[in-house]
Amino acid sequence: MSNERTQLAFDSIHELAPKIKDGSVSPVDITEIALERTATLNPKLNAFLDFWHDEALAAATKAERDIADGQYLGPMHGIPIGLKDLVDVAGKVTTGGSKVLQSNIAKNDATVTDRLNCAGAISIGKTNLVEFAFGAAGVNPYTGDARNPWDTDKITGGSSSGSGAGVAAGMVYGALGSDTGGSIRMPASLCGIAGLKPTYGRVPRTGVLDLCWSCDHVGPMTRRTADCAHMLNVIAGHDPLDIASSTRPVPDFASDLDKGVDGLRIGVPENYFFDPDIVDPEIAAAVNTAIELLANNGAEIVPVPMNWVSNGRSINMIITLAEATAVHEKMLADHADDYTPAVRSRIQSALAMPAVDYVRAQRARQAFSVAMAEATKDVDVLATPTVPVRTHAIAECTPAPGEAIADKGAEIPLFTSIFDVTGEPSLSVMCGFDSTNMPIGLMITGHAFDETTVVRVGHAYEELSGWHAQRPPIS
Amino acid sequence: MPSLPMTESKIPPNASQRAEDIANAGGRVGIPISDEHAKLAAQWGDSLYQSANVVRAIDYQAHEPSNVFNPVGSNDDPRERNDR
Repeated sequence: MSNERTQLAFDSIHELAPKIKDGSVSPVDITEIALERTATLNPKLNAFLDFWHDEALAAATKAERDIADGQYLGPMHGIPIGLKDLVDVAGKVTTGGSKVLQSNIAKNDATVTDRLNCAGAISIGKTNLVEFAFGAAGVNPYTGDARNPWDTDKITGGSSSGSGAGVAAGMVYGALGSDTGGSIRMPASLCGIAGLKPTYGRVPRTGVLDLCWSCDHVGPMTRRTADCAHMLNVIAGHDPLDIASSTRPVPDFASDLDKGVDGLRIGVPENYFFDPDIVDPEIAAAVNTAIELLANNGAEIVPVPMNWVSNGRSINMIITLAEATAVHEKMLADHADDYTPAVRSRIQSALAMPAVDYVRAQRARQAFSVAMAEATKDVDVLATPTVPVRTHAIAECTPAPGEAIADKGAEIPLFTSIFDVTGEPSLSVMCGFDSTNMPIGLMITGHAFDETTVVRVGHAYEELSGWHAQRPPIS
Repeated sequence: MPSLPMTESKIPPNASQRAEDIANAGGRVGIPISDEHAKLAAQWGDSLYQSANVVRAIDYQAHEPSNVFNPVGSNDDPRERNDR
C-alpha cells in the first residue's frame, strides 16, 4: 500500500469529514483501503471475525452518490467502521465470540447499528472479542486471540479486543465496543487509541448481547477523542426498547472540543490509583507527566481523597458475576459444553453465591456512587491511569490446560471497573509508552451525562501531547 | 459521606467444599455440573469470596439497592441523589 493510502488510512474522522463533505476524499476510496488493510493485516491480528467486502463497497458507493447529490448526513457519512461481534446486524451472525451462538443470525439491527447506518457510516464487519465479553485480557481460545498491533505477542486487552486492534492498526476509523468492567477502555489503553465509555443509559443496548444488565455500556473506540465525540453524537439518545435508556436530551458532544483546559479543575485521587503497590511506576510517571501538561496549560489540579475507592472493583465483580450467571442460565443449561472452560467456570462460580450478596453489592454501589459524587463535586473530571499494569504476553494470560485462571490479567480492570459501578462517563487516551514500547493510557472520568467535558479534556490533551498520532509498527 | 472501610479478611471455604456447593447449586437451578467442571469453577472462589467480604464490610445500611435499571439515579445525576 502506498504511503499516501496508508496516511489516508490513519487520518481521523475529524479530519476526513470535511473532505468527504466537499468531495475531496471519496468514501469508496477509503472503504477500499479499509477492506484491503483488513484483508492484509487480519491474518496477523485476528481483529475481525467477519468482513463484508461487497456490501461495504455498495454502501460506500451509495454514500458517495448521496453526498455528491447534496445529501450529506454528518461526520460519520462514508466512514468505514467495525462492530464488536455482540452487536446485531440484521441477517448476519452475532456470535458473541462463542461457539454457543455460532448460528445466531440476527433478525434486526441493534439500535446502535441502525443509528450508524442512518448516519451513513460504512460497517465493514464484525470485530473479535472475548467469549461473551467476559474477560479483561482479550484472549479467546474459540475465535483465536486478537493480537496487539504494537507487539503481536502481547494481549490487546478485552473484551473489545478486535475493536482495539482493528482501530489501532488503521483497518477502520472507529469501532463499537462494550464496557462492563472496562472492556472499551482497557483495549483502548493497551492498543494506544481513544475509547469512551459513555454514562450508563446514554447509549441504548437494544440488540446488543447482555453480560450484566446494570453495568453494560456501549461506546466508541477511535484513534482520537474527537472521533469518539462524533460517533457518540450518532449512537446516543433514548430508545424505549432499552429499559435503562436515559430520556435526557443529547447535546453536541463535539461542541466544546476546542475550548482547551484553561480554568478546568482536574481531580487527582490521593488514594489507590497512584499507589506504588498497585500501579507500575512507568505508568504512574507517564500519567503524572500528562497531568502536569494539563496543569501547564491552565488546568487547576485538585487532590481528591477517596480512601474507600478500592472497594469499587469488588462491587463490580459481585454484580457482574451474579447478573452474568442469570443472563447465561438458559444457555448454560442447554449448551454448557460449547463454552470454553475459563468462561464457563467463571460464570458457574457464582451459582453458589448467596442472593443477599448481590443485594448487598447493589446497596454498596449506591453508597459508593454517593461517596464518589460527594468527593468529586468540586472538580470537572478525574485524571488517573487506565490500566495499572504493563501489557502482558498472550501466553501469560492464557490458562494452562486443566486450569480456569491464567497467571496474569486479574489486575487489568482494577481502575476501569470503578466507573462501571458509578456509571460515570470515562475515556482512555494514549499518554506515552513504557520501556517496552507498549502504549500507556490516561483515563479521564467526568460527572454523569457530562461526556462533553470529558472529551474536551481528552481532545485538549491529544492536541498538546500529540501521542494519538503515533502508529504501531505493523501499520 | 458514607464510610467505606477497606477489606475485612475472612477465611473462605476450602476448594472441595466450594466445588460441592457449586455443583449442588447448579443442580438446583437446572444446570448440571460435573465434578471436573465444579473444581474448575471453584478456582474462581478466592476472588469471589474476597469480593463478597469486601462488600459485606461496606457501610451500606443507610442505602437501598441501586436501581438495577438506572444506577445513575432516577434523576440521572448521582450528585442530586440522596437516600430517603
